[in-house]
Amino acid sequence: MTDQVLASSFRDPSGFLFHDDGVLYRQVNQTYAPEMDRLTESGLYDRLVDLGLLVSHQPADVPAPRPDICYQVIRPQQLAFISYPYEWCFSQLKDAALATLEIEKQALECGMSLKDASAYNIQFRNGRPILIDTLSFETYREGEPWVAYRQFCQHFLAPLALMAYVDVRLGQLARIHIDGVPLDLASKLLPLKSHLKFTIQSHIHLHAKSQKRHADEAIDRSRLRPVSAFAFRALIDSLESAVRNLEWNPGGTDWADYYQFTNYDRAAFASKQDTVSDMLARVQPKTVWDLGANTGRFSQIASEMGCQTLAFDIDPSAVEACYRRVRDEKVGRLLPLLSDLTNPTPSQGWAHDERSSLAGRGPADCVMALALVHHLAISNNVPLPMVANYLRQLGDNLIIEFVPKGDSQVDKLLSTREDIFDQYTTEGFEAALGAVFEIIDRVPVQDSQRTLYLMKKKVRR
Amino acid sequence: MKGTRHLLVVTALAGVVYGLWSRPVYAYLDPGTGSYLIQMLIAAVVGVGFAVKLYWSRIKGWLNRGEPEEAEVSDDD
Repeated sequence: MTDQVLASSFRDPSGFLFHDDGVLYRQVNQTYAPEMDRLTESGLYDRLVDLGLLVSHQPADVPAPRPDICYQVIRPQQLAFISYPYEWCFSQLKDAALATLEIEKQALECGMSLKDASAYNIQFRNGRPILIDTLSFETYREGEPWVAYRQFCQHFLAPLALMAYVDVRLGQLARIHIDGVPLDLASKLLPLKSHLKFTIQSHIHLHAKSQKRHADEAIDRSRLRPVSAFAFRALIDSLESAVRNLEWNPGGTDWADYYQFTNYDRAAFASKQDTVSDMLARVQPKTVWDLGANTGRFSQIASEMGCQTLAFDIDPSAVEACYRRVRDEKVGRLLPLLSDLTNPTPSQGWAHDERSSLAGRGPADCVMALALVHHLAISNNVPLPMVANYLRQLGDNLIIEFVPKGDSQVDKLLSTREDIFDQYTTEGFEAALGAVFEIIDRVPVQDSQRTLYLMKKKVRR
Repeated sequence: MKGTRHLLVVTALAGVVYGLWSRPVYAYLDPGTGSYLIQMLIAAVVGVGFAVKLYWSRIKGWLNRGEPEEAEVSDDD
């Protein structure tokens, strides 16, 4: 037996996650036994699983890593990939927030309540948010306020308000502030007009003031007043209104309308789709990472072939457009995520181990890098051998497009700067990539100067 | 100022729901004293609006009782 406790589940003493032979399990500790039983007996577990809001689990027959404190070991439904809130677009974070509140409403109806409201407890499965922490519930005690209120405001409401009112890129604050955006910071950054909105005024601005005023002050129980069940429900309703009223719509950025401005005509686009489809069929990957996926048109080819596919893009508008399509058209197995490949998600949190880097969550069976290399090599000055080495870390197979000088997209990148890229040629590209990948096939893209390559990672001796 | 007005309203309405409460709290999260206190005030204030909202929807339901039921608004947005 090889067990490995996950570095991400150490805060809550109710239990923890561990791996055994590549399968994820959760040990539920004895201290949590009454709540775990109540989750089932109250009907909440069945209700949430039926609604697709909570991962299902089964009792597991594997040895507990800490038998001395173990109540039971469960095997949760396995997810293909764990993503983080700073990798989500606006609507993903908004839907995750609404899912959290819906779960809380369902829990209240069953006499329970969420004891945390961490955005990291939500994941996306087939385009829908789902709670992955089965141990997030506790018995609701009438009179008590919501213990997760501060966390909900920091993890969801503050970043959503900043993205909606100020700039969508402020969603990246979640990457620095791992327990959510501090409310005083959010309050300082939000514009004056946000003070006129009752929900934002109360849950962020007044909340921040109250935090400042009572900083380092112990809770004086004589000052606590009961929050009736009705007022509690009203609070959740108010948070829901706050979230629902926040809107952000893509537009006016670099990539979202990229397909209207490329070198492709309809026939060339279809030819590229056919080649990508053919190459994927030859590799038969289970997991595909499409890097620089734009709105995920090519990623969708992979997901429709049955591959668990991630569509990464640097542009929040493109990721937003892709997510809305996935959600509204119920596209399965496709998860759009924000990623700047020139500065990919690092491993971070406690001991650099709490949240994994992008590469740490791989490798994928197949990486797609279509119309990407020129951005890395020319816009970001990354030498081609370094591009090849990073792609090798991320995937075992590679479908990659080379866009040579002379293509309008490359010429556009070179139009504002000196061409210092002598090695940026077909020969230079094949030599750099060929050093770490075996080139299986090369197919020209019809009516363009571009070429698609199928490559397989060389095994290092 | 709008902010001050809200604060006054919040404080005044909180007085309405004044009561005794000293139940111990068990939680692994630190709820934060400021967050706890403001939550109690906000919950009291929004409770009034929530009551109005619920009763209004009941009145609407009563007025529409002869008509076919409207489909529930989906959360899929």
